[in-house]
Amino acid sequence: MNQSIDRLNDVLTTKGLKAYYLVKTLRGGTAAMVHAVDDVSITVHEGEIMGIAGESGCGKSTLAKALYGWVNPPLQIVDGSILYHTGNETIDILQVDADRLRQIWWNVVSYIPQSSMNVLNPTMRIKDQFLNVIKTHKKDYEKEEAEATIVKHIDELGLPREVTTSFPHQLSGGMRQRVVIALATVLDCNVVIADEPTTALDVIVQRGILQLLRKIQRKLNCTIVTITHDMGVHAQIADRVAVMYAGKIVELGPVQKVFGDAQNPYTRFLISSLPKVGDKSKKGSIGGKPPSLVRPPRGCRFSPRCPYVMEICRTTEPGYEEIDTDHFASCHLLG
Amino acid sequence: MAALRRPLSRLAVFLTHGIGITISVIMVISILLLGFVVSNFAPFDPRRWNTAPKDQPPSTDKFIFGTTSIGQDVFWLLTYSIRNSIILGVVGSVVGLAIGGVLGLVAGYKGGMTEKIILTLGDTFIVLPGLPMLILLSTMVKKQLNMFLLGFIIAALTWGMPVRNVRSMVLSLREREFTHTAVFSGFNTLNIIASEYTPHILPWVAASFISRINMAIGMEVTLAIFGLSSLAEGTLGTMIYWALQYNAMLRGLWWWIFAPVGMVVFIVLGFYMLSGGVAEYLNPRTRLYRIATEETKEIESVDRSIE
Amino acid sequence: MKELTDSAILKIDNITKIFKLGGLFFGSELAAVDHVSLDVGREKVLSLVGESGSGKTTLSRIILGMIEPTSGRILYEDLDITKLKGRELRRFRKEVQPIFQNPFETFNPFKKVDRYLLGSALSFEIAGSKSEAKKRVSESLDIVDLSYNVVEDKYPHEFSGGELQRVSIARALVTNPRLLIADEPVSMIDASTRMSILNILMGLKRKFDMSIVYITHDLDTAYYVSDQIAVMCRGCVVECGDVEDVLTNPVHPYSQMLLKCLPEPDPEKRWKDQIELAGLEVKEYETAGCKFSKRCPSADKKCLENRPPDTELESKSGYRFVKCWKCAREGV
Repeated sequence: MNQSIDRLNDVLTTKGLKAYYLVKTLRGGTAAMVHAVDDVSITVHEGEIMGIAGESGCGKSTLAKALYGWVNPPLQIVDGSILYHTGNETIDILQVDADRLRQIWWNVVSYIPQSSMNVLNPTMRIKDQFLNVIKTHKKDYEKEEAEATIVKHIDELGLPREVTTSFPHQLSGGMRQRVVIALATVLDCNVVIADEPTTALDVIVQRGILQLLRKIQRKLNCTIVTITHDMGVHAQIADRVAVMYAGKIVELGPVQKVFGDAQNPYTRFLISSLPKVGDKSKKGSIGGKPPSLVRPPRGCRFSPRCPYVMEICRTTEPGYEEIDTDHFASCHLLG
Repeated sequence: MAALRRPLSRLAVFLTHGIGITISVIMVISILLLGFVVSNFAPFDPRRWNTAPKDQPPSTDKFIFGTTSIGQDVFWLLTYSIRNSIILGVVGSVVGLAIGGVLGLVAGYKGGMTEKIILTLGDTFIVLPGLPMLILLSTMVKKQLNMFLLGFIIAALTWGMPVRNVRSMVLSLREREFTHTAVFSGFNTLNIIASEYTPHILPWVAASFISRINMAIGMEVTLAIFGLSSLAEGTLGTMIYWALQYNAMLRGLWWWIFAPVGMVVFIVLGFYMLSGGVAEYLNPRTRLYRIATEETKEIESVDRSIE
Repeated sequence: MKELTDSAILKIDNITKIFKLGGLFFGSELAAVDHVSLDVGREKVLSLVGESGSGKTTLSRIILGMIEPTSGRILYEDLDITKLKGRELRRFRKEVQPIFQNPFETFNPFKKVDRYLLGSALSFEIAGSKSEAKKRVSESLDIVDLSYNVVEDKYPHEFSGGELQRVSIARALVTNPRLLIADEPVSMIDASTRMSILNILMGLKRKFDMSIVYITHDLDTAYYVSDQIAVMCRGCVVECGDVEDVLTNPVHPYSQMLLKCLPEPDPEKRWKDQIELAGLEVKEYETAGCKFSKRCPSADKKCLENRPPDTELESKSGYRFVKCWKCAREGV
């Protein structure tokens, strides 16, 4: 597999990552092995917003958990590494112990979950929750210094100061989600992983969240990885987009290329099937359904549904090639 | 034979589901065997007094569990009592569950005035003090008291609880989308309750049936210790009563009291573990997971045969 | 609202639904649907669009008869839905069918799905025997591109989301309905299969003269599928009319805001400016005036205190209304 050489300003690299779910029967044998992330290699450049797109069951949420180092049974890393380059050192987040992991969390990489209600404690004021987080993840904690950090951070992100003295239920849903984002970034981390940050939010609130993510990238110089099935979100904020299908990355490139001139058939169909206000042309669907990740098909995983399928697609997996600067795609039709 | 393979294999999966279930099934089967099979081989009616030498300790050659002060063989008396206690337990459990369950279904689905009436009635019975009522009723019919009648009395006092439980299950099921789908597909009320709700309620019913047996047996033992149960029939409770009457412990006849007490503990434990295992096995989530992995295995075995 | 005379299959007439929250003495009231009047044209697709809390789902359930309105009435053809019994109720159930959002909740996980389809055919006397029912069900499944043997004897979990939603549509079609109420039918379906389901829905209008009420929060799919659209905000319809007019040229500030915030799947069309968001929890339900006034950039005192009237606007079809003081003043 051809890959670009790790550049000095890459902040996150995965090489040949294989993360499977080993579903055991009640008696201890293996009932099924779900190939959720199957040989994924991506590099994330410093300061960019990388979008990971794909539909349900493509493995993107598993990839998110793995990137964050949150690997619990039945999820197992079968192969590969996930490297964070912090400038001083390179850390493989899959090899560290629990204590080191706690240090890495919030300081090197942070995670924004889908629903704010999973994160905020309804019985504590926002400020106290911030202090809690800082105390847990920062080595030398001093209350006054922490309080100053909190205020500065809130101001920087453009959130009103009254937020810190409120309880979660006093805030609107959109404000809560923004507080969670502020919470995740309070310790100046290098990478933020946002897992479906705007799903199930109203469209007006969604815009506020996306604005905030862009602001974070600019002001705090963070690198953001957004994982979502919503292509509109990627179009609005991503610099590069990786498209996943059945556990594999089928295309990765600059957002304009992926949307305007996709090279992989699945990506092309996905983009062209998106309805848009003002566009009354008939849109089609790709027939069939995504393959089972338990027994993925031989050869190209999209071959059962691909209208351009050739004999070779059914027997051999296509290689993941760099077809243009920083634009990778996987398809037998190319090159 | 082939048609039986599916249900038999399902049974096998259930029995080996967890060590708790295997043990409890063995316990329950041995209880039933003792009570319903072995008891038929008693050489004489074990209830009759003076059929055996009195106060004999357990011995390996003659009386395995010893004898009582009124001349009964403890072992055969025990098997006989197990049978009676189980009959009583099952009758009390089934009848009470049937009445309470059906009323709960009606209350939950119909709502309105019907629901209010049923609930008020059921709640009254829940609130009635169980033991005094039990004592009162059994004293009233003491002459004709047999296992079935006692079972019915217990059922009459305990049907209130299932009403509330089943009603609340039905209330939540009524809000589920598939209830609306069934209504829009033209199914009538009875059809909906039977085909849509039963699989969801089944786990609770099965577990409740088994644990109610324990409750009924326990109520009878309490009654018996006061001498108010049917002393003519032999139950585990009455065995304990007579042992207490003759001060078995103080006189050193430990086998006479340990046998029935130990048996009650054994039965309660066995049924309790079984009810827990059944509830967990029939839990919709684990059930659906099991159906899904069964299929995965079928798919895999088919794939393997093709390769 | 002005009526479309008798080219309307469904007339929603001043429907209000008030929910009482809280306990016996200290509860409060919430108007989930607040004096809504709408017409659903024959052989037309009407979209009910709004965010969470807009009342669109409550309204759809009132139309289906699953919830009773507090006041107002709904006329389906000549029947008053709120007062149906016996044979009229059966006719209504036969002719008005729902499609729900989550196909895995639509069906009982312990029941084989074909039982619902066959049951529909037999209960509504579409078929007299099981074999006739099977034939009718096959026809229904054919419309959604599924064959009977793919569906026979299967449990819901054996299907993918897209397939199961198609089965759900087939179930609704068995009785040959005149009106479909589709509540977010593609929100839980993957993007790559979404369009085939929407194409099926649009085809129903053409092939079988069906009318569809399509409820969604997604303006893109609403634009694709519908002829007419009604935008709801906190229980009120703030703007309605032909979808082309309303979505490409919105007049109400709320509709304008919604369209502004729509993330276009086109990197060339990124948002340039920032918008302001509400900070603390906004109690929008309890406004005496316009429901959007607390967030509206052009709101004034009148908007906060008085419910705006419905202003009719010019349009090709003659069906364009806006509930806004500013628009009433300026006569846009």
